[in-house]
Amino acid sequence: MKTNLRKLVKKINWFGVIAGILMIVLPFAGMWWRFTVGTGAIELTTSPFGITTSAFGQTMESTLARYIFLGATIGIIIAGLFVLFASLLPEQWWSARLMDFGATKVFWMAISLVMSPLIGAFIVNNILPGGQTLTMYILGAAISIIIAVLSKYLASKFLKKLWSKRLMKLVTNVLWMIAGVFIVLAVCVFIVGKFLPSGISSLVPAGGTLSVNVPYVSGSAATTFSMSMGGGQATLTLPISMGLMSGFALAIVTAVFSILAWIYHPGPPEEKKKK
Amino acid sequence: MLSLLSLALVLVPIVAAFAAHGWDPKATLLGESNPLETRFENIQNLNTQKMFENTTPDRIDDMSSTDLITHLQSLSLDELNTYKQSPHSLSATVKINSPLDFPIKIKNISGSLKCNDNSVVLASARLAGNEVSFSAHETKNLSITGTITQEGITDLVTHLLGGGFPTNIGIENIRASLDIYGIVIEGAFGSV
Repeated sequence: MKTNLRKLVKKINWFGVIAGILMIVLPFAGMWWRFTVGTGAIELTTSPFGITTSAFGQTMESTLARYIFLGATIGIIIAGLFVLFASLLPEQWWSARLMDFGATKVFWMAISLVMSPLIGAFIVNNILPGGQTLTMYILGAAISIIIAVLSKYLASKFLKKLWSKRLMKLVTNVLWMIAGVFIVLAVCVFIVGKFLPSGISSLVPAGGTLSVNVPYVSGSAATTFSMSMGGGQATLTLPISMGLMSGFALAIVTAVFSILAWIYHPGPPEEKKKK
Repeated sequence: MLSLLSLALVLVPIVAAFAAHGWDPKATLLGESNPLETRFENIQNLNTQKMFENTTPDRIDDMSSTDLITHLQSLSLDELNTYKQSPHSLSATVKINSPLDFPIKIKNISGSLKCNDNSVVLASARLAGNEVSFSAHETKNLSITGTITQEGITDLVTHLLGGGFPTNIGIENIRASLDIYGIVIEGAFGSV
């Protein structure tokens, strides 16, 4: 009896147990990222599980956002339970499938949360002022796609161990994501070039200037807009600040444990038979 | 099966949100009210004339009007001319009613005090002391300090010898630096 219990405990995927528990806790561990304009002109805190927005002291609510975040919260709790069950019973036929479903979710959520403001700030700071050429972005997308295809081919050809195949799958997916980012940026450059050849400054009335400066993911910057007003010049200064919050630190820890659990987890029974 | 679960967790909330608002995209996305619209509704109907009250000088060269009148009356014609030629300072209190629904901070304000009866520019003035914060619809007194112009002192002396300060005083060439929720607006704001 004792030997059976010891065997059972030995087989448990402990990385997965920790990851599963963290995934269930994560939606209630606070926001991941904040965005502020001025001192309360616009205040936004967000995570994949919720958003709080207020503009000029008044709270803004969106039913669509609330429902989508509710879906994400339910999704991550289900994924956490799947990872937990899969880790506790790694030899069951369904274990690997449940692990595949849940393990990379937090990793992609964390990546998305960092990439979204990063891409947004890049578009605002570099593409909207105009003068960018498509070449760099198309080249970037092409190189990422080539490396992704090549790594997928090489992985299927040469990698035999399950953990290395899984790791390579993750790397390949990251490369696909980078290619996607380059394509999005190329589309933005094309749209700006087509409709705003002189950049966003062309939208400013005559005599006015616009100096756009947005921080990347975390930090502070100020955007200034000046315009002619009653024979004089009026200047509007918008201090913008962004930062990662404590919830994001837990997300990173969860993502690391999830990925370790996924790599470490035994494969489905059919793969074992192949061996 | 599991990929269908992922898809359902994305699609079902979207469909449910739209269904909850009778398939109205604006209400689903932004909710029932837009705070930006309601917050700034009253700015469109802003009447700057109603914002300012009682712009009369409090003290000149740190003397009250009664002391100054006695002082001026004691001067000979030559002394009065010398007085008119020399530089003088002025302090005034401007009562401001904030018509806004939200707090605002006046970081700095400057302009010219003008006697509206005879269009004489009395002084160049600026906010005395630190910035002044107004909560929504609050009324506060703003202390203004300034330097009296040559034409201004002549006009003031004429008024003072007649028994008091000029009463119909306006402010022109107003330059201000305002802080609304950390957004700083600096520039020329005309006259009142």
